[in-house]
Amino acid sequence: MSAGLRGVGTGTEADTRGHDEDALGMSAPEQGREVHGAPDAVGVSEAALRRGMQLVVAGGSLAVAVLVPFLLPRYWTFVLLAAVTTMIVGLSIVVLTGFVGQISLCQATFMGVGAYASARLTGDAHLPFLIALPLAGLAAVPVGLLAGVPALRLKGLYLAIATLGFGAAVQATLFSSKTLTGGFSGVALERPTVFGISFASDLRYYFLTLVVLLLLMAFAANVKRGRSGRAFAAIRDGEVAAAASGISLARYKLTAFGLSAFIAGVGGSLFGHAMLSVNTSSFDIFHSITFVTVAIIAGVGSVGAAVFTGLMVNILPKALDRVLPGNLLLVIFSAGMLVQLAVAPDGIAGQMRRQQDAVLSWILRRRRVSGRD
Amino acid sequence: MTSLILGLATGSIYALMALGVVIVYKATGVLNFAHGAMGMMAAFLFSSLTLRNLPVGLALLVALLFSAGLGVAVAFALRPLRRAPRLTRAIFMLGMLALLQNLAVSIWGPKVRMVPSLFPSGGLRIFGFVLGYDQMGIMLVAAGLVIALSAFFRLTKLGVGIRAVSSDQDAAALQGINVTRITIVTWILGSVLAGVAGIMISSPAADIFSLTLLVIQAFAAALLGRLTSLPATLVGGLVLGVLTTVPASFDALRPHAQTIPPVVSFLLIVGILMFRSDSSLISRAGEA
Amino acid sequence: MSNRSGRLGLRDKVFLGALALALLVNLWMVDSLRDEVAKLRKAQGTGPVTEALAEPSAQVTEDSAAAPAGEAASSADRTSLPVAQPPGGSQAGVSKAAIKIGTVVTQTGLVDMSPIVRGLSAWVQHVNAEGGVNGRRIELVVEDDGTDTSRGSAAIRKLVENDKVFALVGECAPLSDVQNIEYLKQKGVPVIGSCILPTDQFKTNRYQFALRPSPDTEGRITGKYAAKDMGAKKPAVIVLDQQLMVEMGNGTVAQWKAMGVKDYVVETVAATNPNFTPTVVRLRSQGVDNVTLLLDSASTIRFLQAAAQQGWKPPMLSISSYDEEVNRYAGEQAEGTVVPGFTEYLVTNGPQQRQFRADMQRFYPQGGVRLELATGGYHPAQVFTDVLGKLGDDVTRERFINGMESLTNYDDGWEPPYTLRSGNHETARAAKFAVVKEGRVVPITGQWYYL
Repeated sequence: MSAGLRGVGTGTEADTRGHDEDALGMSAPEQGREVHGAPDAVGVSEAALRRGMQLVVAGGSLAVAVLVPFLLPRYWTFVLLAAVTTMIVGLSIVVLTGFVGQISLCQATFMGVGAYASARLTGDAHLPFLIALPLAGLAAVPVGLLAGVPALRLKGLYLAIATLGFGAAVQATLFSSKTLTGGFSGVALERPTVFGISFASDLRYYFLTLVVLLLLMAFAANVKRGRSGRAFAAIRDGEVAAAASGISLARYKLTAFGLSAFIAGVGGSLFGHAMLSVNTSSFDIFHSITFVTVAIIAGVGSVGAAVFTGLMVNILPKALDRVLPGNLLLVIFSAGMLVQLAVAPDGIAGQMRRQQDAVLSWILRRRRVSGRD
Repeated sequence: MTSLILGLATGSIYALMALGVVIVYKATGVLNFAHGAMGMMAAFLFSSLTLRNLPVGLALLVALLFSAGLGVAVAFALRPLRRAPRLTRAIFMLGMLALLQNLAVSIWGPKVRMVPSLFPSGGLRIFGFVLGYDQMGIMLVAAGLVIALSAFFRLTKLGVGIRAVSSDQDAAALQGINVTRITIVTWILGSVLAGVAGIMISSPAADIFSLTLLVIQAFAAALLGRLTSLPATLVGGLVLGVLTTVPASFDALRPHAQTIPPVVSFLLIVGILMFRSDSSLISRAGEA
Repeated sequence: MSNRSGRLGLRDKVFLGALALALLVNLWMVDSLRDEVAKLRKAQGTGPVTEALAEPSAQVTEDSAAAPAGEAASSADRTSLPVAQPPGGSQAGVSKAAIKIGTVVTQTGLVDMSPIVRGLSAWVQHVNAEGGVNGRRIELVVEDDGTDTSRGSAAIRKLVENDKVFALVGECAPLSDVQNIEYLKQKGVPVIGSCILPTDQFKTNRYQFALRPSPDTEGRITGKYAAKDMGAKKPAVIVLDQQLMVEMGNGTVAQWKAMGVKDYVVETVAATNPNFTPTVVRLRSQGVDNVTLLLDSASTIRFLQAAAQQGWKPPMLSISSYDEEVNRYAGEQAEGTVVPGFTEYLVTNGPQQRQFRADMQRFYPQGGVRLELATGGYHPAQVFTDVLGKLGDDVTRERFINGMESLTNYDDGWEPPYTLRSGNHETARAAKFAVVKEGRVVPITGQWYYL
């Protein structure tokens, strides 16, 4: 697994120093950092060191993710797998908001389309899960493109309002329609069987969702490093400049929305199979708002930041609910989120990166002081 | 005809909610997603006080003072983010929305609260139905506030200061206007307006979510008013109210009456935003 | 990066292909769903598929003398239905000394159903004080979902997999429950007395015993009363857009259709609708002469006040009008509103009700518990321990389910005698109607009104 997965690949960001702030006021990560890897006398460049750190963080996180269901009481497994589906949605937000700087307050809508599609594909059409899952993601793409149309003219806050309205409209019409989606009764889904192995148990399903998450993260990181990724970053950092250099804004913005919808649709499908039944209230605007709010607080600068979204939405409240009485918990949680946002507008992941940088500087300083001169 | 008048009444509700949003947005650039929730808290407090047999006038005063305090608190909470782009601050208000809702549940519980009306009960019989005094009251208050606020902004020093800050913060600062103070005053104003709207709209029964959801319609109304002009906001609200009420009177659409407001609002929002040539709304490089 | 040249590169082709595929899937979804629904509609006329078991002639009569509780017909001898053993074993939650039951009830967050927990607990304590069921104590584990579906799902899993409860009793987490039905079915956990259960589950889910008529039936009974007993010529039903209410509303309309009522009005409202005046004006202008409100308390109040303002007071039925706050705030307008009730109100005073009051007094002497809600925990708990008692020493989930499904003409003191069978877990299709008089809810007749 490459280091670019959990942290931020240092390659592309180094080029984008000193540009305007994007829609969220976040500079690209590592802005201002000297990452041209000139090796020092000891032979290890800063870039390599940074990459090493990211590998350690990534590897550590993966180890934790694999081991934790065995360390916690069994009923936690369900919370964990719900968290992973949230992380996938968080990833979709990273792709749209972090990569391209577009804001969307209707991710739950994309999730819903994916979930309903998956229910029908595995139910009516009896398609095997491995085929139904990507198709479900694809089904959400046209919806994403539709939601993305306003992005061609709007930015920032206005785009947020437009997508919010889109989500509300879809929920009021399509999701509530009994003929189309089963309305309030919703639809039923089953845990999948892949290659003859049943994933009905929470533990196995957890690992299945984890694998999908990792695949999607790899995919996203790949996109970021590729041509599209550079175009995305250019658009995020300055649309006029990007357009002037020949990048088609419409094409890439719509692609981003489509991509984000795909990921969210896959997340929605996994969510649906996890819950065994979904209905219209699973995908309302309050969910969309929660996802985006938490994702921004968690940070959307890197692919790895998606992990925090899941942690904050699913795991943290559950972990705390034994400690604090129910309502008070929610109050403190909301207040905490606000404080977090005020303190670190670029999100928890950004905070972590800055801490990583601090550690890095400390290591380098020590080396320079002790080793060479 | 009936639905036209009812539409105007509904529209006044939208407009009343939108006024506070527009004022705050103009001066601070923050779109207050929590506007409805702030109004809800004032309404809940008002309800509690009247339940304790406080006279309505006194309860109203206390509730509005509370709203003012809430506005100050929000203004201070936003200070660390004052350099952040609008979207981040709007997201902050989303978080504030969650906080206020959870706070309300913690303090008062989730049940619906009774909110006495500020207006006499009963109404005027016109065109074969009764237009309640409370609905007329909302229409009058909305219109009255627009006039009063417009006068305030034009004639008083504070009002002019807010306008100055709205159009150009830095220039205003250079003119010696204390921007921080103006910001706080603006938030107080917006919050009190939210409280007034919340109390009037919530009667007879207030619950935690409906005002928040109403805010989406209010956004649409505000956008119709180009997010800048109060009279236009009023007109926008009225138009939106009519657009959402009149179609429901046609037989074919009646069963779908409930889906109309969100859909119409959304189409309106997108339509306005997309097809206006007003450059302030078009995406610009680096523009948040 | 940009394809200025106008030719489609490979990537573009892939993208367009994917998009085409996506659109195909969307279209297929819409189509296939239509087919599904059409099939379902056709199939609705046929009754449930029942197991080939001897059906005792269950003639439920109008006059129910207070028969001694429980006449479970030879449940011990019935052979189990051929069903795979659910994981966790059929004997989960059963030990020599105790039987563990659980429930998830929303107590914090947006809804407060904690009186149900009190009622449940009161009966459990009563039973334990008398030695338990066949020598086994009942242990109750209560979880709260905090109006959060993922907490609710986690709580259910905790109860089933961690605490290994035998059954869920008095389940009431309105937001989470619907999602958990499938899980509980797969795990084979019996659920006795849940406050929300979609209509189809009454027929298809052998583990759910909601101890009430289905929402569809409740709607039908209400519709029948409006059309027949209140003589409505052009009735209207206002339905809240939530599952339970929508199913009820559908039942009401179906009943009207079946009774030949040609002219009726249906309106659905959102929970957050603040303004009912347009609705009232519309209804009135259409000449509606009877209004059924299937709404929550807040919307009911708003509707009543809007109608009062318009000076319109048609005959009304309202399911939320058992709530005294509603009647207090609606004042004069609420007078005469008919309230359908599907289990015994406390306005009656039969032996079970007296015992209920005594138990609540005994275990919650400080009072302050909403009794009409607490029956929602007490009543299912009573039925549970009663059927449990008949199983003797050998307590398994299968035998328990068989026991429930062989209840015949069973009078639990809260509902008219009912018969439960595989494929039909609906209790008696009857209601008792009450009316709002001077702000209080008083019964209209003492009799059960049957569909």
